[in-house]
Amino acid sequence: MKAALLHSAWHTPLGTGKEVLARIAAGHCAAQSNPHVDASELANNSTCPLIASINYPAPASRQQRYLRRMGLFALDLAKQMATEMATKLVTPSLPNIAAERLGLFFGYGGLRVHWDDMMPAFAQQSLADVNGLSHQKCWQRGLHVLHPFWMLQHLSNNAHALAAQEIDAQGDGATYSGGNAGAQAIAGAIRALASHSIDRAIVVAYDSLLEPETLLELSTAGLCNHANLAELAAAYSGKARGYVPAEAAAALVLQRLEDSPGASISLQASASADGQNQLASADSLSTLAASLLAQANADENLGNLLWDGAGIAQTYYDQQEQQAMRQLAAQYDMSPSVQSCIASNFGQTGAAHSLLQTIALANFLQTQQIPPLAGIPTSAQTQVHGIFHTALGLSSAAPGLAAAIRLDLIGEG
Amino acid sequence: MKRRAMITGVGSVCGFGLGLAALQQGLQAGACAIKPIRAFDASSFPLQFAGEVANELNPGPIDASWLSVHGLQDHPIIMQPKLWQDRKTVFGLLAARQAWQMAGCTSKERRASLLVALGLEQAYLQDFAPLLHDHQINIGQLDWRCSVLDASPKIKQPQFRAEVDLCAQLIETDLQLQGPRMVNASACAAGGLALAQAASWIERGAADIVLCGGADSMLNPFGLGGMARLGAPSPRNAPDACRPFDSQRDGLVIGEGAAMFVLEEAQHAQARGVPALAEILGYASNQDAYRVTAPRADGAQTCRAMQAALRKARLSAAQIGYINAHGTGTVLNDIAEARAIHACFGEDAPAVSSIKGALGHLMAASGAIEAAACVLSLQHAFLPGTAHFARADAECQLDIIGPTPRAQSVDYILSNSFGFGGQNVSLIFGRVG
Repeated sequence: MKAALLHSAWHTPLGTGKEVLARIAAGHCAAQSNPHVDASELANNSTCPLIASINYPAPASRQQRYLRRMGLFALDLAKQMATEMATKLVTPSLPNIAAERLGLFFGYGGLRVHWDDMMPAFAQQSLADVNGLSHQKCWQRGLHVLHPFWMLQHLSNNAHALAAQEIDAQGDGATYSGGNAGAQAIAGAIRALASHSIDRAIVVAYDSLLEPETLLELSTAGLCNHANLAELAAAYSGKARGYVPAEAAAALVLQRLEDSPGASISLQASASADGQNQLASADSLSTLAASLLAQANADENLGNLLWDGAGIAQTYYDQQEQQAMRQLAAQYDMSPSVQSCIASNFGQTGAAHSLLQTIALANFLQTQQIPPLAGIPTSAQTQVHGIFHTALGLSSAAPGLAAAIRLDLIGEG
Repeated sequence: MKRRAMITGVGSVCGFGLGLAALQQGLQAGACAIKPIRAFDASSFPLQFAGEVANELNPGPIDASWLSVHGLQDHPIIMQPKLWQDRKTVFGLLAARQAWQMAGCTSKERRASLLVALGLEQAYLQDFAPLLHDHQINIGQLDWRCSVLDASPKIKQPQFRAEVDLCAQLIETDLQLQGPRMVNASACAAGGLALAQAASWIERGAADIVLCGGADSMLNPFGLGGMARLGAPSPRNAPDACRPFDSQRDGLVIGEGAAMFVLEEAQHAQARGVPALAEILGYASNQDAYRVTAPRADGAQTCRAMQAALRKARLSAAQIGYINAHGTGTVLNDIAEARAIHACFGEDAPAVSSIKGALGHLMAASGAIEAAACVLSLQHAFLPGTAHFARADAECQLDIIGPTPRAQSVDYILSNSFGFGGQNVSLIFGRVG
């Protein structure tokens, strides 16, 4: 099942708006030194010296007592999409989208422990022994100072609920979670459109891997890069040793293809899991990508394959992924293939990644301008000239979560 | 030929015990599973009663003997005590196994999709024990460097980040599933939504067989503490704390558990020779788009969800024999739901009950456990009662089934689940055979 991509927006470590695409084209990398770590601590493998953060404040909102920073970015994007709908996105077959026909689908990576609001609650907790915690009097020892809205602030679907309220989205919808939740949300929206329970869908995904405890966990798991900025080796360079954790929020507006005669991009998404404790395997990614390509019509001209890699930045993984995708391109007569990697520009953005890829790949297809892989000398990259009708975006997250999207130019693009 | 979503397997874990038979026995007896919390020492908390998963053989926290009693002695989970503190992962695993076994699924069904509704994740105090040991933490101000550098030697495999899909991962690994996986996190509507989406997958040909359902537990210090601070639970520590639709109701009571289903396309089930237990005929979801702290007082959106589910099922309101209400026992929810039922069904609304007074509010798993109750109703010709309902509320003028269940056979049941923040889902189940 496919849907038409009508509009999009994002908040990323490279900024917001169209200037982000220009920075991707110029090979910008959003990685910056982690302000909490200095050079003397680099030997500690539990630190994460590089991060890629959104370097501007979240838009203020009357809902900020319920939402933390990334939720506020997501809410802002939902409102942007609603404004765009009200002023520009009018299609002849759907002159007005009633509130009960507007769907809202959210994907978020998962609730993180937030130290600042938790510390007062357990700073005075008592250890029964070195391995355990005594529950005796733990209410008096600090849980009683949890903010009354703490539960609402950590509700799994609070951003979705607040966005629905702000933009009056009364139709079908859901919140999905996990490292591939962005793709899950896209897929859920497309299914709802196909079933005609809604006429238009706003899809929002957001995630941040930059909470201190998340960085600690990713770092000790060996996924994060431990180099400094000058020594950072990019994904697919053959020297990469870990990715740069990042954060982002993105939103899309989707509609049924038959109701979108002027649309230039169609979108599909799929998400799966392969039981791995850490990242989904490269084979899982290519299997998922193959399932999307297999939905092509027999007479469909797919052109050369453009694919955006998962950007895990582990040499062995990167090579496995590239090999699998070369084989896939050959199988579908889409060779030679061209690869992009927006993760090398943004860093790893978790659940938001599939939506960032959607926005970037739509631009690449529409302009037929494919940026080189950031962080790798242009001379070391294969230049491929061809017509790209189809693009795939892959992402991998723990535990064993895989996601793939497919974009196609509609008509002449 | 129209594809139909049939339920061929059900597993349940709740305050009445483990397995569908325990749920049936408890519901038919009009029993109440609300008891003092034994999962951890909650004596200092303002909330001390809950619908805790019954285990008279091993009351208290989940431990290795608890797992062994319930057939998990050979499961890898027994080697990972850290996982036991996330109670819902154990419940979801057990319920999934039950459903899979009941449906007679084997390795041939490994390509089944998995759609799980999982509840709110929060930190566990035990995760932070290494940081608190011999270490001063500034209250109100995070000492980031100190916490990271000092903690790292003590933590070999930290797990602070809540794995929102841990339960799904365990189920997938245990049953060696190879199909797509989605995790729905739409709070109290998540369980119902999981079933609705699974039915949609089957009807649209995206899957022939789906393992779906929900699991949740808030019986841990942060879960209990957070809910206590929120003020939604009844302040009374008693078995009858939750009194849905009663004029004296004053809040919900927390429950825990899981219910999982094998949902299968009718022809697929027939080819496997597996009997269908019930059919999902209709479903619909929408948003209140109103407030995160309260439902719409007029119930307009929940009414629309019920109407849309009826249209999907191609049924009239008069054909519904029983409504399994969301019925949390809070003042606002029950009034809003009553108004919605009136608006949808008029003066001849069918009998209504809520099982939350008996089991507690299972949060993300509530829609799932209530779906299991609906399947039992259809199969065994009884309508569950509403525990502790004694005084009719003039603002909830419905045929509320009292604490004693009714012996009655119906063909179609509607089940409502309304999540925090105004996510609404209505499901319609049909009797088979």
